[in-house]
Amino acid sequence: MNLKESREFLVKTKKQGKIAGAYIICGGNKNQRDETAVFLSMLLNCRQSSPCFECEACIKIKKRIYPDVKWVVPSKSILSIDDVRNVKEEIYITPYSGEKKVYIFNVEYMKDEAANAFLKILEEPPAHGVLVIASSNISFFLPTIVSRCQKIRLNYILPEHGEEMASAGEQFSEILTQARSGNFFGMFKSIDALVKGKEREEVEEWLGRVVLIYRDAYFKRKDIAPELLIDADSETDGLFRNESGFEDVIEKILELKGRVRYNINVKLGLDNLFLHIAHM
Amino acid sequence: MYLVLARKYRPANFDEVCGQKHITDVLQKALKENRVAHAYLFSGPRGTGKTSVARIFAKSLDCEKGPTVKPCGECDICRAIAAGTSMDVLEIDGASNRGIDEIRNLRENVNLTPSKARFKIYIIDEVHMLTADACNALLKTLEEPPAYVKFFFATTAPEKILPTILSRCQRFNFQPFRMEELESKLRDICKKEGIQIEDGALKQIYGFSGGSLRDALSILDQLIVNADNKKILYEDVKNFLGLIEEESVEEILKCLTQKDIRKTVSLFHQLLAEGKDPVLILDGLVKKLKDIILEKISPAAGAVNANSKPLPSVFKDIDIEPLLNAVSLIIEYKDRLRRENLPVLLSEVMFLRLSRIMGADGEGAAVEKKEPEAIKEKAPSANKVKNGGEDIFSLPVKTAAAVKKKPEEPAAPVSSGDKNITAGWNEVLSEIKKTKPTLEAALREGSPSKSEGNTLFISFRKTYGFHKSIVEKPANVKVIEKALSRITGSKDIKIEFVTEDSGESMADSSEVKKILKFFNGEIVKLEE
Repeated sequence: MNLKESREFLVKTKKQGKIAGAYIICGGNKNQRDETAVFLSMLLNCRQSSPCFECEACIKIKKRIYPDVKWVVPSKSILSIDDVRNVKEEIYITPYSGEKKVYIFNVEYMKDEAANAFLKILEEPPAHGVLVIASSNISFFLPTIVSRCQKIRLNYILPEHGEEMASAGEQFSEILTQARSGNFFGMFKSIDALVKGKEREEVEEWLGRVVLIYRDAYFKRKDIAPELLIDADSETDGLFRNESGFEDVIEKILELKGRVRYNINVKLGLDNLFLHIAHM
Repeated sequence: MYLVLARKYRPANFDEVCGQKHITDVLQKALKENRVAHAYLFSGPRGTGKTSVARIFAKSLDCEKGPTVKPCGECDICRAIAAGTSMDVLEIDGASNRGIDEIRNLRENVNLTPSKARFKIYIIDEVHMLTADACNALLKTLEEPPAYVKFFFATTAPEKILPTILSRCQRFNFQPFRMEELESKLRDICKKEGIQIEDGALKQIYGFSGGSLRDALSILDQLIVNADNKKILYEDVKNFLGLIEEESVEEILKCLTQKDIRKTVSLFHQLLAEGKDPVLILDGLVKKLKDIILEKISPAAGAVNANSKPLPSVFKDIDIEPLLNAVSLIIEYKDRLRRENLPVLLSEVMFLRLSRIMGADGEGAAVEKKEPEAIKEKAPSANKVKNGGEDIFSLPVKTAAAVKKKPEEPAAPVSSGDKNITAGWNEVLSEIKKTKPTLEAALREGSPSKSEGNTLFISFRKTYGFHKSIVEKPANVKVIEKALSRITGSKDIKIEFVTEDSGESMADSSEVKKILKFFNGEIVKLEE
């Protein structure tokens, strides 16, 4: 479904009075998922048949200050059992002002304990409760979780180009130039500066952006249709010396990105990555 | 308030339970003959009726007119159980109440007689999540509970449960539903909801549900919302679930064999824009590849596939080998997709790799005409393919260079089978790395120098004696030989380690020559 179709589907659901107790929104990019979740909350709490975007409830939901729409955004996007327990305690309290109490879970991963504790409440929430899971990939979750939810699959798309993306690209190519010219002192220093004060998941996001820029650069060389690129205009030629190692570099970055979340030394990982790319 | 179909049509007595005859029959018999045990374990995949059966069984035992195989559903107790408010039937979520404290609590309460009903029944759902401590604390009670207490456990992961718990329970395994069972149940529910549904649509729903009734009903729920005129057609299901058409998969494969990355990627994005899931696209690719391979191996077997069309000529020229490699590559990436939050990008990388594998079949000339700017890229890639899948793992540049250099050294006549050994050395290394990284690190310093018969010689430079001594340990030798035979396929490969002569004596080295010339001297004695 694209954004419009998903909205139409939800409005139809409401019209027929068939709003379920649990939804999974997956695919799309983060903005789209959040937007869909917001739309669903508005739909449930606005008095019109489809959200008016004007009443108090709609405006407050948009601003994320509506008391009956709660956002659960756990650290590192990993849902823990305590988060679930909190929700379980709260959800049985009847909503303050609106019709439905909505819990929106912005998670990428659930620990085993959390997922299993989630099951019961997900299957049979109270009449006024609606649980919404928003995640990039539906396969992150146990099949028992997925089977209890109505699925809203947004079309898979690449993340949008933004300022952060551009600055990540600049940082990356700067460090890479240092590494290639043998200026290792400068390289280590820049990496230190890059990592300093950053949480692990910020580094993970940074690597996610870098990998997309790298992909863009390669695809541009391969003359792939510009509408499939994230940013068709940027100057990225400097990233390549030869193309043969492209997949390896991408895999390297993805591998590091997957590991940053866990207990590796981020700085060493980045050092290794740049040295590797410089030698390709 | 609206209830999803899965909850609305939760069975209320044994007759309504879909399938699982082997379980309901036994339970009903036990009720009739008054041979109900005190602990039951219901295990099986999601959406097969574990919790439902546990609830029905509880009702049957406690119903005012019971114990009966047909709980009335009308007495106070039955209604309280259905509403989940009964004091005597306690449904506990094992995943959130998993600690020893909760179990201690339970043990204290077990000794109180039931307030109204005949039995006090504990239904513990997701029992596999109880901690080991909690399980052990439960053992004594579970073995010899008071006569009025029954335990029903439900779980999707029986293998996680302590054997001491298992041995105290009567165990029932729920099976995923068969096609006929699920279809008739769905048809039943559709009738009750006043919905018409096509047979083809039902088949698709079954295929997607994986034999879970809850999954099937949740799909049906959404389809009903989407349906116009209360009719669900095959087309609706296909669009809604994002099933992949065979034609589009074939098109992608064609582009891959022609190494047309540009078109492949744009086709892939086109599918995404239609709302297809990358994982499903990969599934479709594997399925199609399987068909092609089958047809190649034995045309008769390929024809078994009912709607098979003649194989497009593009695929006729490809060997089976690259196709098989392609299948295993896709499966590997499918697994990785489950853990990746940039699924689109990962799939693109996979397509790049696929085009290398599948397009390696001497079509270079045709392609180069089409894409002159890609020539640069072609050369290294062709090189790589020759080296036997070396590009699967990225390896330090040093070894790659070493491998290429070594085979040129004067070696005994090498049979074609042995060539594989030297060429696939990197593969062997990465195979070893999986099981024993330290060994790989040591072995990396050596390189295969020559092979005679079944013996492969691996040489180390003089300064790497330490590494050689590690590698030479008998246990390590075994690991290496095992990896070798796994990669090459031939059984009895022996390895031997040699120290490489530096080839030139010290006197020949350029530094020494320089010194000799500078001082105009001569060599009296050589010493290491």
